[in-house]
Amino acid sequence: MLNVFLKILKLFKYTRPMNNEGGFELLEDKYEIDRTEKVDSSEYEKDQKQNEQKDRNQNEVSQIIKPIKVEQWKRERNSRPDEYSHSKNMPSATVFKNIASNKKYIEEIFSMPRNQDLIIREFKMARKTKAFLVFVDGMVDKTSINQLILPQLMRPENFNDFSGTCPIDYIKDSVLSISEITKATNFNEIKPQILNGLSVLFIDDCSEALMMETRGFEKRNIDRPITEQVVKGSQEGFTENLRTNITLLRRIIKNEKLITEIIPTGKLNKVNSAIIYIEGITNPKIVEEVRRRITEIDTDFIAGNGMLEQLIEDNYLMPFPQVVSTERPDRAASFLVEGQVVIITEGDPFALAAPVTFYRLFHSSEDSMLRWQYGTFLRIIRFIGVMSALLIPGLYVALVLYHHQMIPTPFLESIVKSREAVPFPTIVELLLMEIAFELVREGGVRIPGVIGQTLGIVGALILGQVAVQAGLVSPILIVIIALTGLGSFTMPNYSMALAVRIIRFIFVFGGAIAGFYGISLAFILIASMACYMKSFGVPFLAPVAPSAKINPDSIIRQPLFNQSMRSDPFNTPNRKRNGKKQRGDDE
Amino acid sequence: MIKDGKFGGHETITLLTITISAKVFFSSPSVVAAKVGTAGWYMTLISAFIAFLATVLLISLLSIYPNKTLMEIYEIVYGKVVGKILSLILFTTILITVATNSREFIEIMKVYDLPQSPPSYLLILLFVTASVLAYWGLETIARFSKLMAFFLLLVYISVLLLSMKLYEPHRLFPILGNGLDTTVLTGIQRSSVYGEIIIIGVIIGSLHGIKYAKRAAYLSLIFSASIVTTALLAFSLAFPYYTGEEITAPIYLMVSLIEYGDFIQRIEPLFFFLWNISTVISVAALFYVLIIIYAYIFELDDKRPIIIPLGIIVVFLALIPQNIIQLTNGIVNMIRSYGWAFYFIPPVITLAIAKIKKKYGGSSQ
Repeated sequence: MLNVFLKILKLFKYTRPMNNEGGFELLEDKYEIDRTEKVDSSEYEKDQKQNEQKDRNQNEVSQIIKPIKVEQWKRERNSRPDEYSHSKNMPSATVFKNIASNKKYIEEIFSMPRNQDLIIREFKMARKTKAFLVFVDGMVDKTSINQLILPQLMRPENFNDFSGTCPIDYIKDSVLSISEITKATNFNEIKPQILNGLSVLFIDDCSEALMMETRGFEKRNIDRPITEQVVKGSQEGFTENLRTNITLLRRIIKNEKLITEIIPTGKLNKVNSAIIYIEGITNPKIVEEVRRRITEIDTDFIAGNGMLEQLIEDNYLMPFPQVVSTERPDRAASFLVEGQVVIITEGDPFALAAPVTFYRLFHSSEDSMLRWQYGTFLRIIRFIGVMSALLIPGLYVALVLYHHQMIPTPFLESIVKSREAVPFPTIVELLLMEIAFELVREGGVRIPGVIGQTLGIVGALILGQVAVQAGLVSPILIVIIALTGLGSFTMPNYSMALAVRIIRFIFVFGGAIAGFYGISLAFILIASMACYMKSFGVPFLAPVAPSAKINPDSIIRQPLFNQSMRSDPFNTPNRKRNGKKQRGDDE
Repeated sequence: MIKDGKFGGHETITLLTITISAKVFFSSPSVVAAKVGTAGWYMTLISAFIAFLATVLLISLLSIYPNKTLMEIYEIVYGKVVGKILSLILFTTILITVATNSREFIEIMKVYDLPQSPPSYLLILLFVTASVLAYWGLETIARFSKLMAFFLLLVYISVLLLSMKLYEPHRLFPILGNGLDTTVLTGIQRSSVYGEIIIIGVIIGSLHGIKYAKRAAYLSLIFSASIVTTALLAFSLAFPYYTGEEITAPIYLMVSLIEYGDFIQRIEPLFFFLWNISTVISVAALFYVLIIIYAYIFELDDKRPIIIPLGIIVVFLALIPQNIIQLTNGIVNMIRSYGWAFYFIPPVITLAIAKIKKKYGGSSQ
């Protein structure tokens, strides 16, 4: 009770707001060079080098900040454990010289033998040195282990030229024919790699281990994209495998400046997220911001891009999506070329791209594959579709409830006649049909395959017909609902389509409480909200509000050779796309 | 904490133009017709010219004190107490302007569209919207005005073109209206119509320097004068002046008379959105300016807590006139006729004093 009282009291007390608006804002700076100049990314490369040097210096300084005496250094060196003791397990994360200790340590951190996924394969290297290989069952390609690792290590003739105590370097250089092998001394480094599917080799009397690329788990083949099908263009879609997805992108953009940074996210499941961008085209500030937002995520479980998107977006209260997702590699590649950052998360067949602007949500990958007239026509149709989906129900309510005088008389007559037998008020009638339509749509999506589609069509037809015959709704309302539904299907972006479906009800509410006045106020609020929004520091309605150079592909699609500049709102260091001779047949 | 934000020239021009010219859709044209007869359309050019002169002086004042708002300049020139009093005068003038503009808008809407809705209900809806916009900051309001500018202009031009069937050129005669002297005097007096240009001095901190402010102020005056003149010209061509002075919202009525065949008729909905959106932008911009001035006078760095109380004050002020007659004949007429004294005179006097101080007192800073 007291709590409730205190909470009410708090509403009336002024508290100074926390500064939560210190969000990232992408402003024009030296990275965005004059748009007519030649490509030159040396400026920010120089900056990057300076920063790297600075970091290095700082690290060096921090390392030498407390000089120690030679005796102390010797003492510390001698005190380094060769054997693992249970009492001081976790702090000591370095690989032990004693192989039994390494095995014990691995068994403990992976809770063996309870955890039966982990395999420790013990053997004698060259028939004399004790060694073991550790990997997760199912994550590795056993053929590589059986044919390329174990036989080579067991065969004594492979070690004829070796003399010494620890053969790690010799194995790496002369024994194993595996493409990717790295040395590691720290269990903190080794542990995640074992979980990622690498095999790790421990050898007796060696304080280092060898991590070998043996990943080979079951995965889905590359298939057609389900949600973004096109008539013209590539028919490949992303899969759940991160490596495959990155490869699909690399196959399209064969450029040495395509950078992939892998960041593990989720404290518990440590799923890998890849930040992909083209150095010299993407503004380094955007990359830094994306990296910062992903690394600062402090949650235990990330299942995919959908969750990641919610944790890195600018403002969680806004109805519009602040990143764009795609399951098409060609579309993700076009995002990269535009100067956006692409984020792919392991286990998710969708890629995210940020920043994004409102007009880009109307684009589909087919637009660029079609001739400019067709592309422009499709975009206009989509815009009309979205406007119909948003406004038609609200306008109908406003006209019928408040502004009869604005309807031409014959039309008004037909509306009145059709509503004669309907017992409900207009708003109830409309909401009833809207909810019924949403039910049919949601039901159709949840039921698999062909049955779902059939249910959708049959459900809508029968429901509409019967509702009119039963006198529950007027026929004109069926037309309104059908138009609204069709309009919302034209939106190529799923998140945006959902936002449109929700916002439509705000317009219905506006129309119901104050007619056109209510609708215009609702429109002002929604549009202002979009003006207020930012996506990774880029205003959502750019390049119109605020004004920026309009790219000939932002709203109306102009011919490809006219699209000589990249989008201005993304402040790319290199805006120029086309050379002087843009078309193949130009003289 | 609300940030005023920064915006460019396009946003400033559209914001100022819409803020100034929105009132042409209210009762102003009929009042003008009553005062100067058929000469209204060029009378407004005289008003615009006077406002332009005042703006030139205002910009000179702002140039003397770069990066300072009008309120800060008042304090520098006159000291804290007088400076704050002048800021308070500006605050009161804008407060009355916002209240009257909103009530006038609501009353006209009641006459034509929502006769059964009480003014308080419509006013509350208007100020809830304006408050949300103010909460999102001036940058958002400016961007929204830029977003809507082309749509509003397109609708406005379509309305003028579609009304062509109603135009009768002989209605412009007698060309001198009620006499040249009346026209000139009324023109000078009604320069207050463009008085909102003063807000450039309040929002200058959000612009990219005095150069942009100067360009934006002049261009927005030119655009506003063009809109007001064309609207008054269309009105003069569509209605005889003796009929026009009887109409509450002549432009609205003009649109409702558009008729092409059986289906293209009663196209007010098109105009309705133009009218509503421009008024809400105007009210929200002036309301935000009020908040800036209030926060400056009382030295508040967080504007958020004053939005709702100030919104309530404006709503109650707007509800004081009992009916539309009392509103248009009383307070609206007064603010349109004498507003110039409060808008333009203080900056002009301040400029003179600042110049004198600079000449005789060394540094003006």
